[in-house]
Amino acid sequence: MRTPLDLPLETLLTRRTMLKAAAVGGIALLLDGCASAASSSSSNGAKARRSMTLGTVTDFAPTEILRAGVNTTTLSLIFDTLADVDLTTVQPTPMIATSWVWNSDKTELTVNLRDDVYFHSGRKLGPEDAIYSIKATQSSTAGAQIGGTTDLITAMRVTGPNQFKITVSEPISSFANVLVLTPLIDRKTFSGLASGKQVVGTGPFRFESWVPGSSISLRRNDRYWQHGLPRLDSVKVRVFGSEQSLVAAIRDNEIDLAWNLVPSDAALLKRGGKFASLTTGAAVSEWYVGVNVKSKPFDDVRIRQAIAYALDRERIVKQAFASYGAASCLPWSTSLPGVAAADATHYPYDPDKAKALLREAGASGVTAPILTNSTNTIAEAILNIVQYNLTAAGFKVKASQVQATTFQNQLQAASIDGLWINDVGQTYLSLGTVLLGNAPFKITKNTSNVTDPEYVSLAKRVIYASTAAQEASANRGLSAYVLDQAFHITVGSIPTVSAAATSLSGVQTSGGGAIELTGAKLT
Amino acid sequence: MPYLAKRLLVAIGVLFIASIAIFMLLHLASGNPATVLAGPDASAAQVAAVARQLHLDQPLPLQYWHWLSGLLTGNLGQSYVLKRPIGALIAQRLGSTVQLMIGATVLMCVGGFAFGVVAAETHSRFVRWLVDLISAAALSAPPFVSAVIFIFVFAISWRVLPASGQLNFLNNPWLSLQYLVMPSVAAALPASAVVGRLLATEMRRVRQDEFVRTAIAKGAGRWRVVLRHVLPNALGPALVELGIRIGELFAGAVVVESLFTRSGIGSLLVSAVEDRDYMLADDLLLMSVAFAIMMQLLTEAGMARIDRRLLLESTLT
Repeated sequence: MRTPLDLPLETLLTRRTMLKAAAVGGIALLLDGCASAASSSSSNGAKARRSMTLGTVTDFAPTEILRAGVNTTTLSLIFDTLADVDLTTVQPTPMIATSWVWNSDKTELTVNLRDDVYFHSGRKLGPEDAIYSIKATQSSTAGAQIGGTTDLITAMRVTGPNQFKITVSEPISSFANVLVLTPLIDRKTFSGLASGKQVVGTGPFRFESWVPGSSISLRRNDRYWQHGLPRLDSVKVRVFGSEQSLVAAIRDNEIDLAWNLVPSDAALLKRGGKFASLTTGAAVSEWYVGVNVKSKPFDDVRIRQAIAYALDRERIVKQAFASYGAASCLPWSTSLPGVAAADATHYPYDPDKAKALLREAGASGVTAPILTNSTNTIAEAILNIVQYNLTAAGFKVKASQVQATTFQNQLQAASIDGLWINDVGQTYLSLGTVLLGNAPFKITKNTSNVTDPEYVSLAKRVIYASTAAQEASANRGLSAYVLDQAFHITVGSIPTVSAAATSLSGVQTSGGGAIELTGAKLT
Repeated sequence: MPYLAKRLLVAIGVLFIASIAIFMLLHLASGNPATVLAGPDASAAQVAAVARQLHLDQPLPLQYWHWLSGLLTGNLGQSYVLKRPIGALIAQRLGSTVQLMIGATVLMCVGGFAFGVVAAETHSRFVRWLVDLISAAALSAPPFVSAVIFIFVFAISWRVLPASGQLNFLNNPWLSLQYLVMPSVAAALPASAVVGRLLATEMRRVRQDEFVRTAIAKGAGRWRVVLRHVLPNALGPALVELGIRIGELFAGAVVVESLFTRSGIGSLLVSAVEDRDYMLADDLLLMSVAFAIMMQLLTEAGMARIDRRLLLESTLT
């Protein structure tokens, strides 16, 4: 008897048979009555309006809690700071610290704290914890930018149940940023913080769990000092392996907010009309072309100025920043005291002027090596435009890209040969903090190898300015120097750009650029 | 010496040499975990302080010995960057990797064998054309291309499958399978096309052998000849290819993991290398090599089982 095994293959696999099978399969897929992961993910919002999912490509880094600009998705959810900052006036505003007052010669700061703040462990926050948190930033292994400022503290002591005093040897103009940039950590559980096992703060959400590279789960802090807040019961932060998968997730309604998107992706999502585009109030990232002044021929200021004239900043903002942010020649905000608005356009786009400067320096056709971080999409976009601009101005550009760790290693060692493209944070805060804590500007050793005594002197005038008039004058002098010497050639600044579901409202950002969901809600 | 015992000795030797190569390559690359932990604004002194804390200032041979001796005693060490036991980190990620490996393996086997058998046995020009087309498309679609297409079609446009994520299979098998479908297909497609082509070529060659003609002459049915005579003798190259591809899946599915946001071993390895997390990267790389070697041994054992001549040859030499 013939069995199916004995039949020729063509009898079984006719065109008609295969088309029938495909049709049946397709109908089965469409009529799938079982639970669907896709439909359950897109209806998540309808089921639980008090639980929010946030997406990011940057994982939680508990070892870097004290470093600004790192844990921007979780820092302000779990931790509070002593003060926040009003991004319009760039002045600190009360948070856990209700007030702070300098003595007459500005060498002693008295800080008063709220009386109703509790750690997630249940322990009441006291001035000892504030002192502990500030001391932690002084540790050489903390990597905290504010550590450059807190290193100038000579003493700290508790002077009341909710009060402590900080002593410095001389007035420091930007000292209030210590209150803004220091998260309040629990000294009793700090040893468990680095591994992510005990992450205890005073913020609106309690840390529940962290699966490295996957997700962080947070739950509402029912004992938060802002009564009635937060409005959400829980927040889940999902870590995505790539920007593409983050975009796919927000489009698929798997998450309510995609944090810190590449600007072009955010613009694309906004054009679709289904998502609201959110930006942080401050331009948290200042992008620049750095120059190693010890690297020939860039020790010649005319060549550095030629680079500054050659850059089409408006095009960079339009293409690399997708029109988010603004072009500027100055690393910091023109609203800082003493800084002129005209400084932002000190170097207009002028390739002819750039060529003339190169000719004057006898350097037409000089090779300009540029280094960037290969994993940064914005850096790559800026590189393409800068490469084009410099070539048009008469440079012979040699671009190279290295991995993030290698790039960071060379930056830290100030050993990059020629130029590089990178961003720096906190420049929207006062200059003093930046000069003491950020590598491109540090007076001790900076990434451009600037050791000019004039720079050091101007920077110290800014750091130790004790009156508003002195601060304005010092800012004016330093700005003029940085622009003239062109070792840090700013192209523009950009805020953090995110896309949010239209059902989400009340999202804000802290003075340090971290997301704040205290008042956020889902409708 | 028995066939497999010889292979095992060679494998141990390869692992030892690989451990030295892995250790040296990572440590010779620029940057170290202290660079990452200290941050971009750290001074050289701060980076050095962190390095001292992590004992990275010790001589390289001493660091190698500490690592190797720990491995031999079952101590995988602690991640410099994540500050967690490496064993726990791997255990957290292993489930996702195993799910993807099983899913992709099943699809590679089913797809590869289906392609191969149909391509070798069909007399229909239309069927042959169709199989060639599908096979060529599968072969030329690397995972990062097919993954993006799948996400766009099935997750964003049709919304029948989720774009990303994963679920524990034991918690909800049906939903977990839905999260697994697209990543498994993306990982398996190119490999199944290669397996299919290898199988088809070998089947066509074996069909010309005399023992097959004898079976046909004796009146055996077509499919009996294919399944009982041709296929077992044609499996060799396809099995070897399968073994290689499965071995690669342990830590090599990183693109698929990244695009579908699966927290597997591959993505852990990539971030460990990027962060110069020496201990974690060294452990994972060595495990990947060990897994690949193990798959090769299993493949050879399978081939020895199918073709007894291999065992006979090894005992005679």
